[in-house]
Amino acid sequence: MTAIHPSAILIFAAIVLSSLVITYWAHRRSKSVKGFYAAGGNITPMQNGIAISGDFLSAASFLGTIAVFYGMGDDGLIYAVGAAAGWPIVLCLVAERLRNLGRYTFSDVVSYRLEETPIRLFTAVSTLCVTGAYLIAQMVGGATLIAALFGLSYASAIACFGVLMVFYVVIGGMTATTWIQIIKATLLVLVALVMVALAVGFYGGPLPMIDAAAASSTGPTGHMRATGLLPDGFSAVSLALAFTLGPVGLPHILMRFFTVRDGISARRSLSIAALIIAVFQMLMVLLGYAAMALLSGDARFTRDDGTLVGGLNMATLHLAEALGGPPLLGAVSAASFATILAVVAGLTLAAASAVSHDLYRHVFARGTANDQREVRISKISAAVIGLISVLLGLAFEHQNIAFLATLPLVIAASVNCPILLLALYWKGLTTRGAVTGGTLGLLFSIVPIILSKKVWVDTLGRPEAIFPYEYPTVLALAAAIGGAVLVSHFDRSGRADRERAAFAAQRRRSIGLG
Amino acid sequence: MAGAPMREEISEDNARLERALRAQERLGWVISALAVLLTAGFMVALTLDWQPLARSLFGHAVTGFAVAAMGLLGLFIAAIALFSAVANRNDALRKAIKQSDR
Repeated sequence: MTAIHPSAILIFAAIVLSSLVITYWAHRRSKSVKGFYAAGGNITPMQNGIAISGDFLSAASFLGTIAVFYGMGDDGLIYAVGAAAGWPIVLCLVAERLRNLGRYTFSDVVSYRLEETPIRLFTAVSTLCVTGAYLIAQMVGGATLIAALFGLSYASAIACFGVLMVFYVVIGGMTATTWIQIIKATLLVLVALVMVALAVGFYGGPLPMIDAAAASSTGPTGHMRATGLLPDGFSAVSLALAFTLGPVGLPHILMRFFTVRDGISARRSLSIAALIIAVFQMLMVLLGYAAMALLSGDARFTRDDGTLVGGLNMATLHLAEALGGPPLLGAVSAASFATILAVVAGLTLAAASAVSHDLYRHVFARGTANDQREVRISKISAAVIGLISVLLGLAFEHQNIAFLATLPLVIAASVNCPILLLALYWKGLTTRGAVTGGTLGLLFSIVPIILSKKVWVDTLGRPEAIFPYEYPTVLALAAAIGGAVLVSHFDRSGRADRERAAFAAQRRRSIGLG
Repeated sequence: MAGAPMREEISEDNARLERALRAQERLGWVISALAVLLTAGFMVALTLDWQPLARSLFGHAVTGFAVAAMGLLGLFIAAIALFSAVANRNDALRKAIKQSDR
């Protein structure tokens, strides 16, 4: 791969400079609690839709999906379809109701009629687990990219990354992260469109391009056929559930619904986001085949054994260079860099909000908290979270980022999603049920992931995996729903009766009638 | 006595809105269930290398899996458009009722 090219440096500098200017501009708008967490509620549906799509179209999506196509052929379709599958559900079941009931975090909604302290304690823990896992994926992707492009060591790259992300959040709050996200999402979609146009134009159409992909036989595995990314039906269903239900429980996405004026605006912004994500995934399918066709056997990008120079996660960058030379490589690198930076900033903000808004304001300092102190605690939390994520990024350096990016989806689908949907749609849910179900979901998702091959064997170096499947979503989701429903059903306390009685008013308000 | 028929009309409008919102909610659940089932079905078929979809189509190397994936993505887009259209219609109904209430 070509070393640093002037065009790459120029685009990188433009991105970093514009993000710093935005952060400075946003600083004055982020001093109040509403300004810091929700950009003052002044974002339009179109802006918010683009920002939400940007939050989800992460480096894992852009770099990871094409990497899976290159390494495993049609198995890349799993990530392309999966990434778009959850958004119709968020649109249809969650967006409008969440905005109508909450203010800054999804805990506001779950605790609307349930008891605040235990619910916020639990949702803060689950938010930290989801955002923590997500941050690892993004940090690994970001640091790999920076290290490869600028010839830095992985450790220094990840440290630079951590400093920048904390700066954006601490200084600019939600306004800065939203505008950085808008710029980045636009850049990412434009870059993907240019790459598809060049690739399809080069081969004279998508079908000849796919023929060329199939004809290339020097790749690391058999190309067009599925090659066993998922070893069994249980893992396949688990991953499908993670993809479809995960977005319902992603705290940094749910937080974005509070940046618009009302529930209708939240729903409209989600429609825009879902359309952008679905179209983007179609582009990813085409680019996946383009990578297979163009990179296989090209000595500039592959070694003798067919593996990619710099590792599988570099497939997108190699493809950009193959299609448009150093200028396109610069543009794609800058888009990827901006992508990762914007996503980690959003994640850090969501995690910091869980600490300051849910834990500090509503659990530890009930009645004594003030807005200024809450924002200060949020900023300190962002700095601490930045440091922790840098350390975790170092530990997970050699994992495939598409796999890492699915972990938070597993936890979000198994914990936040069932509790949020039950809170919104099931009258019978009680505080005890929600906490029991959520805790079971959390345990049954995290413990099996640690005991699975990818972590237990590949990362921790143990000889044999204890949990035999790749993903535990089926198990964890069943535990969460089962626990919540059973405990709520047998909860005969006075508090449970009051919580059931409050459902009718909550429902009317959630659909905009109350 | 002109107030009574007007009140009746308002409550009829509210009932109509409530029915429309319930229908929207049902549509939301149907779309969500289909999204989960179709995605899970697709991933299981791919994992098991289901032969009807593993074949090449149109005289080219493109597999049935790739066509099915693009079809699913297209279906998601159609579902988003359908739900948005229904919800926008209900927004207009809600707005009209609010205005007539005033």
